[in-house]
Amino acid sequence: MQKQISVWQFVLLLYICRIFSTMTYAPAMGVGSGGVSVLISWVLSLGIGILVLLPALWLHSMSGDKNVVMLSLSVWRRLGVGIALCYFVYTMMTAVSTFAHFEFFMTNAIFPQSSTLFFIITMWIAAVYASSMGLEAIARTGAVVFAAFLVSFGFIVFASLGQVDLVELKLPLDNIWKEVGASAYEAFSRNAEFVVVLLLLPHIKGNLKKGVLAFLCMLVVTSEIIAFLILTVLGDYSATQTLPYYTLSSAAEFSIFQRLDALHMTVWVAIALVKIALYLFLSVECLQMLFPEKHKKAVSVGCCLLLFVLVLPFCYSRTAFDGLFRAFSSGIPSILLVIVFPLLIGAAMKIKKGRAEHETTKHTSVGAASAADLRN
Amino acid sequence: MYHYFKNKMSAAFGANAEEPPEEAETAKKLSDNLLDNMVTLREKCRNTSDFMAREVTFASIPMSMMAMEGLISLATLSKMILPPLSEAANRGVKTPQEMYDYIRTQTVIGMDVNDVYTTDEIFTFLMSGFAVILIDGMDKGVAIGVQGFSFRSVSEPSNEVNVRGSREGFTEPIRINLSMVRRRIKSPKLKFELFQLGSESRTDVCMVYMTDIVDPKLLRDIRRKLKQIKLDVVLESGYIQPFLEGKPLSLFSDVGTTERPDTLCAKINEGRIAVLVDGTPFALIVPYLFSENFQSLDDYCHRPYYTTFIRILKYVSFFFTILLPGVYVGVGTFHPELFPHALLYNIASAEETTPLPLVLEALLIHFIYEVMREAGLRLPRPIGHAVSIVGALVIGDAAVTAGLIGAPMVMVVALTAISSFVVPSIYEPVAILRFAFIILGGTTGLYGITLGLTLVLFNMTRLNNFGVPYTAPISPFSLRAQRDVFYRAGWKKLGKRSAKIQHLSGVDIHENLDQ
Repeated sequence: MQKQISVWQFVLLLYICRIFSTMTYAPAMGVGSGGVSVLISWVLSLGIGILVLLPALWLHSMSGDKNVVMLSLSVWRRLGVGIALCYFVYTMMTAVSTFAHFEFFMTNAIFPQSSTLFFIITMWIAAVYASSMGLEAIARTGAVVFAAFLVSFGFIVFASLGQVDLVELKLPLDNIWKEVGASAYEAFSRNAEFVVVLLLLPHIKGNLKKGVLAFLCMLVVTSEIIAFLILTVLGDYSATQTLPYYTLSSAAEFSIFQRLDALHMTVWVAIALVKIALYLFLSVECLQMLFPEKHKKAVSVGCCLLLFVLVLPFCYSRTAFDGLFRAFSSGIPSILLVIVFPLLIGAAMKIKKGRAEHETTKHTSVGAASAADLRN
Repeated sequence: MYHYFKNKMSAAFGANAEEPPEEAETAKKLSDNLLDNMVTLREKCRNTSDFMAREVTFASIPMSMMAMEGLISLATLSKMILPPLSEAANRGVKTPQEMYDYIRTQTVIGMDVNDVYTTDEIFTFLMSGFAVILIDGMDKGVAIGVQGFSFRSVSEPSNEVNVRGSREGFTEPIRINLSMVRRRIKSPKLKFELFQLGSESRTDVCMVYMTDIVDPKLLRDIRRKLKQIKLDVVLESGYIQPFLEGKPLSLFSDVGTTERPDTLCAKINEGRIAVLVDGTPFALIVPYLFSENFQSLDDYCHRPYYTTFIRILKYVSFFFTILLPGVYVGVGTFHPELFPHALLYNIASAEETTPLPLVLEALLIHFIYEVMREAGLRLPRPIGHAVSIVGALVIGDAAVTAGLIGAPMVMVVALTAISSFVVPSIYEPVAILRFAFIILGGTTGLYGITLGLTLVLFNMTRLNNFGVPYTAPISPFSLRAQRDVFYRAGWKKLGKRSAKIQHLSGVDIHENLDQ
């Protein structure tokens, strides 16, 4: 498989996708709502992230030119199809979830009077076009959007610093470690980008270990800053807000600009587009591996249409949206796709390789014995 | 019955039925009979008033001299070719073969002397300003370069005006342009690869490159693409530009153009390939990057700090010109809370008196501006000035006084228009994007503008012609290459490292065989 993106483009792409979820951090929604416990848990999630990605790195060291789906298909044909479908469903549902989040933000925070369908249609068309441009274009655009995010983030942080009130940082009186643990687990379970690492492995040029570490460190630092500002600037008010980071940007005033929410909105739209395009691209790629070459275009078209169909119920029904959120937060999909499947595939590959070596040795010894017999 | 069909056929094909089937016979081989050859050639050149042929006899050998009127220098012909031919008898020339050898090897009657074997070759040389000599008894002729047609002299390029640097710009004849390049790079590694394009026009096209710098794969790919072009006529480099552009469809072109020989030399020295086309002063440059639209030769003559300032100015102007009207309309319509109160009050009071919504006002005024720009461009200069005066009245105080548009909109249009001239090489995409963003801003606010801008970005980053990303070195990012993107390092630093295009990060030149 052709190496298409450098490890730094990959890191920025992962970061941009992950930051979309981080910006939706709301103290009221998660289990770990205890302020300081969230800050501690995100540092802890760095270690968890490294541990969780070990199976991916192990697989990469065994076969660097194939991703997890290709490996599963090469190890077991039928079970491999099932595993490929699991990855397809996960990436497709992540795209749907991002879409639903984006739509929720737009119709609740920015344009409350606007039609949901308008945002669905416009974003869907844009995402289909963007994903059709391929991984290189998604990664390169991701890098530019990253720069835009840094600028907007810098403005918002700079404008909010004056309103920081450290009194708002409250330490939970009991069960602190339970809260920290729950929060760290939630951070892991909502990190769909671990799956992206497994799927994009063969496309990346450069030192993957360094890249993964850089991604996790950047993520922890940004998450800490966002959580710190939300907790200390908004205080208890943040618990009443659905999108506290947006509220924070609305309160921030910089120079002649009355507020920075429009800046946040523009960056959010760009990030959402990049993330949806990436997950749509990955879901198409997962499914294309199961079909012959001649059906590839039909698979792409089918996936794009499926995204549109799936998005509708999750955007219109709050229950379905919450259900999807809970399914991701349970952590079961992440455990299966990031830990269990890679470990199983890796183990199967080791066994297969061992058997093949054993067979070769057997044949060689049988051949040597026959040659010795012939000589005698 | 036979006569009936004959008449019908004649009627169907008309006068053309009697015309010689030119295509089939143009490549006819010359015979050793001069009369036969001349009959064939004269037949082909029937109704061609600029064809000149003269039968002469030197050293008792019948010969024929041909040329196209207006394409040759009669003075050169009479000074360089006729005197040695008159001397032929004195030099012991007796047979046609001796005459041929005498012309080819024993006299200096021109630097560019070629053998011709077919009528097709004769026409090609004649149309290129050669004189052709046919000798009775020889089944081949001699073509001698005596070009002498009139052309526009070398002058300052109108589209790439510089404060410092050379005042020379390319002109129409390709040979003059090649000489201007050669004068600047006196290296044997500089190659001019000449061939013809256009089945009818047979236009000379020349690939210019440095053998030791250009990537061989890139060279092969461009050569193949050029030779695959199937066009009847090639009158300008713009005819072949689309054949060199990559996929997908984009408003931006990954093939650059220049009128300046010094710019062309700088580009080929970075491993690019230039394509010169006879009859146009615009040379093509491939591959071409987005950031190169913001560079000019002046940048390398000024002090680095000033160049950096100009570069930033250009980038800001680019974003101003495509986004300002759209953002103004979008914010004014959907997000007025972003404006400071005082400004918002001024805008609101100005718009209160106008009958049109902000988006229509912006579209109308930009449409009028584009009409006047186009009119000013095409009209003769004296009338063009009149258009400017009328324009100043239409998009100006009169329009505001009439209550058609608000005063802030005039400011926006003026700023946008002036900014667009800062980077003239990408005016085409800029003009279209500006309209697109006005419509997006007016209908969907900042959301639509962001979505549109991100999609344009996707499109631009997808352009990867010949394996060179159009958006390099911005994305894929290369820190080292930034020394000549947003800022310019001094020559001491610029000269230290290679500026070859194949050394940029993200560049993976490969032959594209699917096109």
